[in-house]
Amino acid sequence: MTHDPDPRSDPAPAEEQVRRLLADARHTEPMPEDVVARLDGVLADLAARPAEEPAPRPGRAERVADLAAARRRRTVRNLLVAAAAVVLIGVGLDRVDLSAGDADSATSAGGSAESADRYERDELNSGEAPQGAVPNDSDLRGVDGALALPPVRLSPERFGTQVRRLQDEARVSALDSRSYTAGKSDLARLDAAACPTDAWGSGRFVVVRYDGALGALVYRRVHGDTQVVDLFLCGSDEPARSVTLPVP
Amino acid sequence: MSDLDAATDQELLSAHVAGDPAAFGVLFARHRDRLWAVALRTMGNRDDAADGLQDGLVAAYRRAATFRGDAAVTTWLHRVVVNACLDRLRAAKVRRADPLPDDLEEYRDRGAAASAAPATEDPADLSVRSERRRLVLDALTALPAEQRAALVLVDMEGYSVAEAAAVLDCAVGTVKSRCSRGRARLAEVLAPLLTDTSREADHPAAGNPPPTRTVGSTEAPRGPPTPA
Repeated sequence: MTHDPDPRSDPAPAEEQVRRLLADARHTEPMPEDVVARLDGVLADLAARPAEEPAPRPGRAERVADLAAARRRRTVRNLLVAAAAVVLIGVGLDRVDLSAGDADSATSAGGSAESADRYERDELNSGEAPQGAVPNDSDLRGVDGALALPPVRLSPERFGTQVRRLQDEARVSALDSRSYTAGKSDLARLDAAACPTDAWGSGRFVVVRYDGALGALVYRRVHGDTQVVDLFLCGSDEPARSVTLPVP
Repeated sequence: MSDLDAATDQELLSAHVAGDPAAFGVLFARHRDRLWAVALRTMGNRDDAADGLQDGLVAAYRRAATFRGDAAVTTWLHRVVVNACLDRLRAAKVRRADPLPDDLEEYRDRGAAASAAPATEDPADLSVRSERRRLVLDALTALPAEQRAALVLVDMEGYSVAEAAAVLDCAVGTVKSRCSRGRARLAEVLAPLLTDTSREADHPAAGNPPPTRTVGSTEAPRGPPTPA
């Protein structure tokens, strides 16, 4: 019987040196605070949804009650979202910035109002947006020429938190099956801006600026109790970021 | 200290499955730094690592009831996170515009424990170390994902081959093979950083050669003049 040597016990000299180099390159720092905050937020979301906890399966009556409660929560949330949308239109500001602030606004009307407060006029065109071939926000008009809702600004550092917040807020509310065709107007806006989206697949589209680059978040169809969200940037058919969210 | 803080990993997972809303958070907080290190080195950059770790976190939270108890809870957590990272890499849904790990420069300025090197280390030495780490991580990122994950677990995180096999859900021999092939590839790429011990054996030792034996004079020794 041949003995297969354990690579940890009898390595060749070069291999041993490689192992030392790898050990020296080990990451020894704690998880960064922003990642801790982001994952704590995800955990809080998961824990705040008792109907989806991996507890023992409820009986039929309890399931019916849970569904009714979920329906009520959706109704309340949608009403709040609609109210927030009215506020946004009424205010008439034209910029959304989710790149500031750390507190999660969750699904409250206060949170939506916060978003309204973060509208910033003309900030996108003041230097962050790349020049040249990259589409300008002024190109992002609806197919009928009407002024469309401007891109949501995302930052690389707070991507996960922002995507999760968007899931709860007005832009991607009512994530039922009909929503997966409801994002077509955003698709048309990107197409009008010479930003082809054919290879990005199906989902609920939200136009964004990520680190200054124009693109879209694509909220994929819910599978089980999770949802994948891909970020595509104009000019690429590969997702730049992707994240899995618990479903509200 | 709360009851949860004193609980074992297994007890925390059981409490979570039974419906305790805080148990999983305590469990995750207990292991998050090491999970982060594995995710970071497996994915190659902090953004993708955070995304992969979030995938793993959600999956572990949801699938806790499927934990069979045939491995340590921490091994299972690592398995879920590593699989989430590998799924991302396999699906090519990662950002590839900047293949170099970006954490080295970023973390240098963070906190009192920002640098692993002692504060008194020569800046030149620090620079050499930093550059060497960058080259190593660059080379690691270029490896196939499965080889990289095996090396991260065994050579970086110090898991035994058997433990790494449990995390990666594969045979021990597979981990050995992946480690061996990965190291061989790294040895080629990192050759300038390696000392060629085989060639050194043929070379004379460094420093002055040992003194040779003195050669005696063939003439009669000179002495004081003898009186006539």
